[in-house]
Amino acid sequence: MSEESKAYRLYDPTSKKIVVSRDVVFEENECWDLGRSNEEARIDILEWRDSNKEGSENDQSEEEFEEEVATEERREVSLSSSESAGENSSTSEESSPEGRNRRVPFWMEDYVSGVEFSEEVVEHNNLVLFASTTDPTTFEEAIQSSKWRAAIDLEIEAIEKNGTWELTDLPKGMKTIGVKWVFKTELNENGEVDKCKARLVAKGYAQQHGIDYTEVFAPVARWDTIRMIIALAARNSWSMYQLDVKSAFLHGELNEAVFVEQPQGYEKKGEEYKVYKLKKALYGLKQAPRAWYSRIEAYFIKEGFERCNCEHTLFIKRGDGGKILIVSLYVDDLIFTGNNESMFVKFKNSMKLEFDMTDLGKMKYFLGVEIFQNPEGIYISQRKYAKDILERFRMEKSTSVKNPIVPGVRLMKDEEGSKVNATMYKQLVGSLMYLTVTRPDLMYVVSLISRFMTSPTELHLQAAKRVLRYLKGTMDLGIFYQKKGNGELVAYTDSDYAGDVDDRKSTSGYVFLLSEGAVSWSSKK
Amino acid sequence: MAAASCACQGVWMRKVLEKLGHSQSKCTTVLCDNSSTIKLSKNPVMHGRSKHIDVRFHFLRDLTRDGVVELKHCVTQEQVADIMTKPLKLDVFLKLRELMGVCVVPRVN
Repeated sequence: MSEESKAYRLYDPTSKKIVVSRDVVFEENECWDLGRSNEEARIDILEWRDSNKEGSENDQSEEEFEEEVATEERREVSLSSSESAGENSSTSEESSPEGRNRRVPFWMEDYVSGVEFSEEVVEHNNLVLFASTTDPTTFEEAIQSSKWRAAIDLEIEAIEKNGTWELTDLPKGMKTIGVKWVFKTELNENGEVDKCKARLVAKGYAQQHGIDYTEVFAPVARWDTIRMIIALAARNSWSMYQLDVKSAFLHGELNEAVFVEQPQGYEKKGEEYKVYKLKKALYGLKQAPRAWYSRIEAYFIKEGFERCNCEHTLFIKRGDGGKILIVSLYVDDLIFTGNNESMFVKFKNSMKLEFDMTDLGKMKYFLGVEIFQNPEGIYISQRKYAKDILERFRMEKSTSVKNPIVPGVRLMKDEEGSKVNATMYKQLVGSLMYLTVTRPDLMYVVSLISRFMTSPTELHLQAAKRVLRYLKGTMDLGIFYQKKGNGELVAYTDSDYAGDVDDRKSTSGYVFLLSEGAVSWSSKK
Repeated sequence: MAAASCACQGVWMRKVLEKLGHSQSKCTTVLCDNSSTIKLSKNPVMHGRSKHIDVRFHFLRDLTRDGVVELKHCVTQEQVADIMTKPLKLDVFLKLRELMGVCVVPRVN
């Protein structure tokens, strides 16, 4: 089996399943012979692998190395097995004829199955899994420990202080919306426990359109705009600052009449039948983001800001003598820049009076994007995010490649190819999609692989994995907006002529450059 | 077609930049490696092949006339947008990537 385990691997020829067990009774008949022959075949393969490995790369762990070697052969070997294991996760893969040493597939990593338990790598992963999920899921669980009780008290206090609700009788014909506690341990950048947070959320899914809410749309800033502001700041050597609004959604004022139940554990004595009428938004309400946006928009207008007509989250305040303050709003994160220090201070102070704010100082880390500012320009990258993606999809030890896609290759629908786990593929594409925020070089290939999300096959997964391997070698890349260089907007546009093999549609793309860096790009079929 | 959608984005970006106090005095240059597109945008002749071109395209022609955008030809080697539309050879890919300002962390001296 393996070096650690003393269990036996048993092969059931009727159900074609492998079972690992120490509870074995040896009988001197064909059952024993079958298990034995399987084991021998397996050892042969292992020896062959070891000798092969010596020559090439020694620093990689066996698991990862196998993935590289076996990606090609796995296609043939486990044509049927990958599907069956994906659907029925509690059983193991069918035994392949060669008795190949098995790698834990991605879709199995959330499960603890008997067979994989004995392998060392999985054991380690499981430990990590258990250690990170200590947050309580129910109120009853949380109330046991004092640190969570303190967090709950804090949240209730904040809500009461904010004037979020008032206790009333429920009017006839109105329905209440349930509330629920959500607990979360926040970690700081070193992975240590920062604070325990309890949040009271409303069960927004119980809301009905036209009764509890009407409009839910709330604008957020486009990345194009944020990059444009950064490019402009780089060109003018402005510093960029960042503010964060604490419990932003609690500030939003409601126009609709919404009634919620009293939170568990905090029912008012003798008035248990009463309900709370909300005056301000709670997390989880459908209209909470919109309520927050209208609140902060009203504030900006009051402060003499001008809202940009073509980008509603961009607010600009002009002072006399060419002074300017630019604020961009991304839900509860604010970034601002400008050419006048005194305007910054005034703005910050007035914001602090109005809302509960955290001043994060110079912009360093915004929505997963790292920002470095120096007098020559501003550099943005998503190095940490890229690293997280590689770890999540277990590609952190793969060999890197120089370009994200094989030159000249045309991906097409692959109806005959063996299907791969679509959920995993979608997660992969989604993670890569966010990475294109600072990586225009990935834009084309990510939009290409995203076209096959409905029925991804091995072929497409290979392409996606190549992107990850390219990412491995280029994790540190980002965009550098320089002070020098021309301040003019230059655009490049191109289209491939009917590049899609399946439906003869063209892909068109454009790139806008400003301050020696790309600010806006697109690749569209 | 690509040029037209690019021009739309260009118009939007010019508006935002104007608000940001960085208005573009000159017209925005749009570089395109399809010379017949450029010719058509400058010279609205009706042609058998251009009959089916969408209304969207005529918007681009208006923009060109008003001097908001200017279509210019650019050699294929410097066509940055290529990176958005096709799988490129390694050397071209690296070169275009650099042109977009994508690089490793610049060391502060």
